[in-house]
Amino acid sequence: MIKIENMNFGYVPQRRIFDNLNLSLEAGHIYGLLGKNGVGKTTLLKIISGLRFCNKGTVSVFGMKPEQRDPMMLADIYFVTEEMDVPSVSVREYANIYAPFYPNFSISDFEDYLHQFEIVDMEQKLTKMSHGQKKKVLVSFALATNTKLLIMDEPTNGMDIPSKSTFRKVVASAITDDKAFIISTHQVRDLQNVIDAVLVLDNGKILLNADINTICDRLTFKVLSADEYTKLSQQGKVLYSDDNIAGKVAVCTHLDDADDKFDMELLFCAAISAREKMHEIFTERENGKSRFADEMETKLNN
Amino acid sequence: MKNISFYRIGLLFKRYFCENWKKDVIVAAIIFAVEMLTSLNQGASAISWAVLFVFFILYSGRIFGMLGKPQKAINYLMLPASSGEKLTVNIILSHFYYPVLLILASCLGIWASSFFCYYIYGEFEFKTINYVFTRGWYVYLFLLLSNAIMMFGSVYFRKAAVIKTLLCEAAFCMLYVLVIAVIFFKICNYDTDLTIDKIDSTNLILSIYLLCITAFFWVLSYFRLKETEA
Amino acid sequence: MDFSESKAIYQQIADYVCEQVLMGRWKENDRILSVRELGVQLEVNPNTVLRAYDFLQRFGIISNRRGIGYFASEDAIAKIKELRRERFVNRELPRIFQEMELLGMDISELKEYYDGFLKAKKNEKDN
Repeated sequence: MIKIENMNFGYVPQRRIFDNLNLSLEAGHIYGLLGKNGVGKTTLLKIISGLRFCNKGTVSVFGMKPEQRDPMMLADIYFVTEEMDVPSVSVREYANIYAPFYPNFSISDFEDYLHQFEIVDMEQKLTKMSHGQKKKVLVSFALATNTKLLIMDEPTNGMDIPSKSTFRKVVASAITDDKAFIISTHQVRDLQNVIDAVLVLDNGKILLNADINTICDRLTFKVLSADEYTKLSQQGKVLYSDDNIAGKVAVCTHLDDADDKFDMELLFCAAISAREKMHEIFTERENGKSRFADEMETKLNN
Repeated sequence: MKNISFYRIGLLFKRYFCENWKKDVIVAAIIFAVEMLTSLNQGASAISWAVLFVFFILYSGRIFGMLGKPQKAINYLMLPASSGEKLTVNIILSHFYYPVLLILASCLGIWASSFFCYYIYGEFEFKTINYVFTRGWYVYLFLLLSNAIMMFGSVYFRKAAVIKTLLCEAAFCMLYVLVIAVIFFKICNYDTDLTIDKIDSTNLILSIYLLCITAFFWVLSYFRLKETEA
Repeated sequence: MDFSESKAIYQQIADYVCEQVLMGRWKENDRILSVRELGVQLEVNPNTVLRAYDFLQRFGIISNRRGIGYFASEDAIAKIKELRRERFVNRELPRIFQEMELLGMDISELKEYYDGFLKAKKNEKDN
């Protein structure tokens, strides 16, 4: 769906933000784009949607070049930005004006999402709404456009606690096999169960691009006792650890007996603190069969 | 021209009118009132034109503000329509819709004042469409140029776009005055007592000159718009 | 659902499904929630639910009827109990034994506690 090859980009030529970046995204996934502040998450999203042009390399979205801004391509991308600028019209008018631009827009979906977000008054002016309210309307609209690619930059910023839960529900219900969502976020705890593939952007490159099943097959997230910790770190299996009330919370290369809970925050810390090792784990074994599949096979044979 | 769809152009117009009709009505009403009041006194006529002129420029320049604010620019650039369609709509709005709206409002204001004069002083001086157009034509041409510069400014300057555009505009203003002065003095032989007949030939030259500059700026803007980044 | 347990999410979802069947909320032979419906309910990516369903399917607890959806198997409860038993023996028991060894407890002591537990439960029922 999206393919970026050897892409370079910098606002000023001396300071490159992306350096030989490669990325390939497929439909059917909700990607979480993670990265430290200023690493260029928003810029990458802008390049994908044709708002910025790369200096070198190729970017292809649905087989088209985003910088050409072909209306056919634009009709299949929706970008929910972090800050919003809304016209002074009611929710209903907004849908009337903008929905016809998107051939797959569904008004019933829109109303359903708004209802779930508890926005009942369609006649309310967008400009009179709070930041969180506007965001809910725009997220609902974005999901209802049913575009193949939906990009959301910090969508849960400004949302209250119940809305975050609603957000997870509507996103889980909207994803289909022919769509891809990219969600850039710092609030990983809000979203880690709806994201099923992780992109880590660091140092001008994509440091990690893997779906969560693969990550869980290759890494273990575990609370370790002091003994376990020394044993494992001597074996060089600990990628990252952090002290916690229960002991050491650690990310290790995969341990056979464990099937522990995936933790995106830990994954991110591990990725940026043990770059080389991470790279090794996720590229060298690319063709190896996943442990999940192995396990199933032995089970079936017994 | 494979990327021009009348359906999408229609949608862009619908978007503009749904979001802006109230403001347009208010501005037309203000122009109407200003024209009516200033026309009651013949001496104020020049001021009224000046007011109209400034209003024209500021109001029609508004349409280009959308590329100035980053958020607005993203919304606008992400709208599923081609650059050609977006530019077409902008040209039509700024070159036909705004002038017609504002000139109409000002005509109505002038005629309304004529009507009042008749009531109050008993003399009726119905200013003809011709009157409005001979004076309006230059305002219109200048408006086109001003729009072209604004379009150009909004797509070219990233930082402090408004200030730079205005500076650019002021520079062209001076050039414009200079050219007019030269042409008038050369052709009309220092004769400042101009009649419509006398300035007919200069009219043509001036108009062509202005239209050429305008077109030049639009072409520049079109190429730049295709490359504009948010 | 709160995914606080330190267990893979798909495992927790599988447990949730088993729980529904054991509690009788989802009946054997009945259609269960679709991948999407359960994903929405639990606020989880449908792909994760799919993995949980795959897992359950391989153990014969649920089955997929093409074009209709997922159904709880005829003998789902028995299969769930079997799976749980296996997990208890392989995972929980070793931990308990380790703790017993550490504390120097004898198996007979454990039996006393177990008898006590059964008695208490019986009393509760009788009252």
